[in-house]
Parts: sequence; C-alpha cells; structure tokens
Amino acid sequence: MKKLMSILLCVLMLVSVLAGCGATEEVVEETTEVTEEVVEEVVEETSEPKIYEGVELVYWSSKVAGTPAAVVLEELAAEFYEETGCVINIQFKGNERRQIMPTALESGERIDVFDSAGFYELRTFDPAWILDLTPYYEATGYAEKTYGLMVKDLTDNSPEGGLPGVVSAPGMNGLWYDKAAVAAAGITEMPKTFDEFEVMFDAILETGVAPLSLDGAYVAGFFGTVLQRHCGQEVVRELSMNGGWSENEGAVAAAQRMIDWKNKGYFVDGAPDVFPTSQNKIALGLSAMVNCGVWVGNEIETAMGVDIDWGFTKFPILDESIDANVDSAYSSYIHVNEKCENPDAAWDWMMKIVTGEGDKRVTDALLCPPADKTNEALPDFDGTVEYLDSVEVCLDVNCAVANADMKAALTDVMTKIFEGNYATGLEAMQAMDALYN
Amino acid sequence: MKKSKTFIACFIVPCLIVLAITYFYPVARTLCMSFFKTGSVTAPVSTWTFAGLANFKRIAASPDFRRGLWNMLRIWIFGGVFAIGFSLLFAVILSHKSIRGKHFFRAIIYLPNVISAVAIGNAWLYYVYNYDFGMLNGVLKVFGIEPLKWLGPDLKFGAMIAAAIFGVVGYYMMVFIGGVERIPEDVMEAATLDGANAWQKLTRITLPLLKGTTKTVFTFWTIVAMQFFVWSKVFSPIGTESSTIVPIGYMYEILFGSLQSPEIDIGTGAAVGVLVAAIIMVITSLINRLFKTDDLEL
Repeated sequence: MKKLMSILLCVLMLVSVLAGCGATEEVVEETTEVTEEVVEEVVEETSEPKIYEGVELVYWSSKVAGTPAAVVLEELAAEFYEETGCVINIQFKGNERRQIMPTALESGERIDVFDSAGFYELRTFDPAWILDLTPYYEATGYAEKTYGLMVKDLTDNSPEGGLPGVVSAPGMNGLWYDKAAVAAAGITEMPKTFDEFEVMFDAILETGVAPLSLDGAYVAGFFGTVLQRHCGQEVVRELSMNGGWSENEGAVAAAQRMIDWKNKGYFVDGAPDVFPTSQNKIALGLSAMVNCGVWVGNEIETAMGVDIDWGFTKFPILDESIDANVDSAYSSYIHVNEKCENPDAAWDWMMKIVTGEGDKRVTDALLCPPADKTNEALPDFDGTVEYLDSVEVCLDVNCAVANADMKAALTDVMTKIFEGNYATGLEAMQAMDALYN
Repeated sequence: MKKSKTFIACFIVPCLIVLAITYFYPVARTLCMSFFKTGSVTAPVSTWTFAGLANFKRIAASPDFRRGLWNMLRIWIFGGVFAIGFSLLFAVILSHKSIRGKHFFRAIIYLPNVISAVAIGNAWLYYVYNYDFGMLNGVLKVFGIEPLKWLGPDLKFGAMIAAAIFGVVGYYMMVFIGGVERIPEDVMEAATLDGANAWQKLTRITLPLLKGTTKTVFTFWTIVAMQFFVWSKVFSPIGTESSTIVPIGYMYEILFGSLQSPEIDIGTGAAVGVLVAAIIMVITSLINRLFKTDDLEL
C-alpha cells in the first residue's frame, strides 16, 4: 500500500511539473479576439464569401489593454472583420513588447503583424522577421499619404533596405508651451534662434514664471539637442564615441549657454528635478514650457488634473548653417512578419489603422499627430502635420549619449551642468573629456 | 528499514529534470554565450561567432560598468553595515522580555518588506525626497536650512540606499530574532548571575552564538547587493545615471537596448551575468571562511 501511495505521489508530482511548465505566463498581455460573440452581433449572411474569409491575423500591439487607443483598435478590428471576414487577434503587450518580442519571433511564435518603437528598434531586427512591403507601397501609393522622412527612415534603418513597415503614431520632440503663460508675456510669435528665445525668456521671467521646466530624465536629450544645434549631430555622435568635447568650440559654447541660462534663472526652481516633477510645474503656473515629446501635454494634464491649451514650437537654432534640415520627427512602425501567410490581409489591416478615418481615430486616442497627413490634427497639435512634413533629416536627440558604455557617465556630467556645478562651458566639457581617460 | 533506491530516484529525478532545464541549461548557455557574439538571446548556436575574451574586455573598459561595480561595492559595504546593523539592533531589542508591544513593533518594522519595492521607492521619491514638497526639505525649512537636492547627482546614491535599507531591515530583523530566540535562556541567566552587564552579554554571548545566523544574513545581503536592480530603476526610471547604475542595470540596458541607446550586445550581457555570479561565489566563500561556526561550544 505504501509503495502504491509513493508511486501515485511521484506521478502526481510529474503531472504538476509538466502542467506548470506548459502554463502560459501572463505578464502584460491581454488577448483580444474578434470572437464568435462579436461575429454574431454584426455579421449578415451574404451569398458571396468576403475577401479574407477564414483568415486570422495575430497582431502584437504595443498599446496597453483598456486604454483609449486599445479600445479604438478593437473597434477597428471588428469593423475590419465585418468588411473582409478577416479575424484580427490583437494582443496588447504594452511596454513589455520590446523585451519579449525578439524571443517570441526567434522561437517561431505566430506573430503576423507587430509594432515597433521606431527606427531605433528597427535597426536591431533580424531581417528574417520583416517582410519588404515595397510592392504594396508601389501598388497603393501609400507613401504619398504619410511623411516622407519617416518612409526614408524605414529604408535607411532597415536591416536589408526596402520598406519593411508602415508609419504609425508619429511624434516630435520640441518645446511644448502653455499658450496662456506665453501670451501673458506679450509673445505673439514664437522665436527661432537662441538669441530670440532668450528675449522671450526674459519677457516670461518678468511675469513671475520660469520659462523652462527640465526633468533629470530628459537632461541628455535636452543637452543633446543644444549640442546638435551648435555642432551638428554627426559631430556630436563622434564626440560621444571618442571624446574631444573641450576642443570643440561648438560644444563649449553649448555648455556655456546652458550655464548662462541656469544663472539667468530660465529653468524653474529645482530643475533638473526627478521626473515628472519639473514638467508638472507648468500645470502649477510655475513654468511656461518644456522640451519633450508629443505625450507630455497629456501626461501633465492627467497627472495634475488640469486642462492646458498647448502650443508647439521647434527647438531654437543657432543659425541656418548648422544641420539646417535636421529636426526632431519620428514615428512608431507596424511591420508584417515575413512568415505571414496572408500579407495582403495584413497590408489591408495596416491601411485600416494608419490611413483615413481609422488613423484619425487611433491617433486622436493616442493624442499625437495623424500618421495620414491628409487627416486634420487635434487642436493641441495645430501645425504639427506641416512641421512633420517639412523635416528632411531626423534629429537623434540622444546623439550625445550614443556611446552605450558611457551613457550614464555622460548624463551625470550633463546633469551637473544644469545643477550649476561648473563655472564655465570649458570646465564642463573638460569634465566630459575626463571620462575618456 | 530497507532503503529503496528506486523510490529515492523517483522522487529526485523530476526535480533534477526541472533543475536541468530551468537552471543548469540556461547557466551553461549563458556561460558559453559570454565568449561569443550573437544576435539575440535565443539565436541558434550555429549563428554564434567566437569572440574570446572580447566581451569581458569591453565591460572592463566600460566606464558605466566600472561605475556600476563601484556602486555595487558601496551598496554591499555601506548598505550592509546599516541594514544588518539596524536589523540586529532591532532584533536584540525586540527579543528582550521586558519590551512591551514587541509583536506590534516587529510587525511595523517588517511591514515594508511585504510592500513592493516599486511602491516604497516611489513613496520615498515623492513624499520624502521631493525638493519642493518632500518631508526632509520640510524639516530643513523649519530649521531655516536651505533645502537640499536629495535626488541630485551628489546625494541620489545615498537617498537610494536609505530607501532600500528601509525596505529590507524588517526581513533581516526577523532572521536575527529567530537566531536570538534560539539562544538558551539558562546561558543568559548564568551570565547574569556571574555579573555580566548587557553589553558583555551582547558581545560575549549573543553575537558569538549568532554567528550562523549572521553568516546567513550576510550571504542573503550579498546576493541582494549583487542583484540590486529594482531600486536602481525606480530612482532612475528613464535612462541610466552614474549615481544609481549597477551591473545588473548595465546588463539590462545592453541586453534589451533602450531608446537612448538601442545597441544590443547579448554576449556582453552574458559576460556581465557571469562576472556577477563569479563575484557572488567569491564573496560567499569568503563569508564561509570568516564565519566558521564549528568553534562554539555550549
């Protein structure tokens, strides 16, 4: 009897181990399927089968389930099923998508369509994961509907050239300002150059408001952009990789300008602060603008429970001769897996959500400019479509920390510039150079 | 009773199989990967390119990794002194018979341990260290002292360690309490009768008899310090900073890339893991030599 119990116990342990190994990990994932319930609600029987009848596509989205954009995607998936008979199995992976997707693709997990965070991530893709969509671009003229720079970036950053994706959720880094605070300073037209910005900042200061917020998390991007304006981004990348900051006049001048801005009180008290404390001070009426991406307005309003009338303007330039056609403009992409069995359906699904009314609904929910430039942007993004369409070369705001082995060390010195640790720009750039010894 | 090797094997083999799949294989693969260049974590071995010690040379030359190692060392030493010191102090006090409400105090001190480190870290970030509204600067303002940037580059490391110690003291306190309560009462009574004061009892009886427990706590703390990551990410949620970077944080950035630095280098990430594991083994064996428990006799 005892032996029998022992054998049964062994078997039970083995079964539980195997069951545990086969369990699906639920991390940040919610699977949405256009289920039979949805089918029953919307389908009318027709005599002819729909174009993608019986087709199912698995779509890994970087949206978070339950968010407004995710809800819109689900609605669009239901409409797409109604129109074409194709089932879209949307899996909302959220921010974890970037970490788990390479492994999933490597292991052969079925993913037909998937998001990427943009050209930064595209560069790291295995060519075997992505289908070249050039024939679809040519057949549909899609390139005319979206931003030329982002299409160019697709090709430039693709592992094997071609056009391995479509543009979604575009954005830009720049100065997002509280229109009321700027208007109160008597500013009617946004300046262009650093000198003109300083005149504006003085006017804003006189109203008792600090011109700029700056969170520690964005110091590298902010100073990187200042450096780019003074030196050109390729020069900045080179300096990041090999040093020589103190020998570059532009870099020294950029650092000196920031030290001057700090001393003049252009940055709100406490800056650089722990994210998102400094940017939230705009909502408290303590500062007027912040250099950040398209998400910042919604982020501040959500955190502080206020409604701000936002404006956008480009980061100041030194003069037109340095990186004249370089500015911040980027987007996420959506790709088709090379192993997708029905790329036509995948393309049509992507067109559903990145062009026309579908794109308008998705990008309005995401609170970003439209991916289809024929769509009208939300009032808070007034002028952004024209801006995105005008940018010729994308600014890499992280060009100053391009050196992966010195990112933290370089960011440390940059933070100390804004903390007031250095008396001169030369001293700051010498501190940067000291990191390379 | 007759030993049945068959049944022993039946019970051990499933565990061994699971251990081999989930532990030995990944460890062996990571060790091999640290000497190769490979495109992704799950890339087939046939696609790996032998790189020799290049990955290890890269991390040795990386200022960020070296700073991470230095931070890890400081976490281990300074964090250890305060975390273990405070937990031992609380354990000794709260094991004393005459302390009223000791169960309540034990629960309160242990409470941070059951709360997520992310929640505790954010509470410290926004309620304690905030430049404008934080408790610490509020206290300084009361005394007419200029507020400090607790989360600036100079003080952030200390701020992070203080918050981390707050979160872990309770756990080590409970471990020490277990050790203290195992000390026979008659030994203490005999010491009292012999005229020993509290300090003498602590240093001559309690601490020596806690050697085994102290060794355990040191080993746990070493592993925590070597794998310090969550607190680092809470205090530097976007990007990496010199004041909070740790080797595991560096490994995370190099394995998965980031928007700031999208470069991925799996071999280098594996090399970091191998190095950290080697450091843990070295330190653990040092602790075993330092805390020999076979020289005590009751």
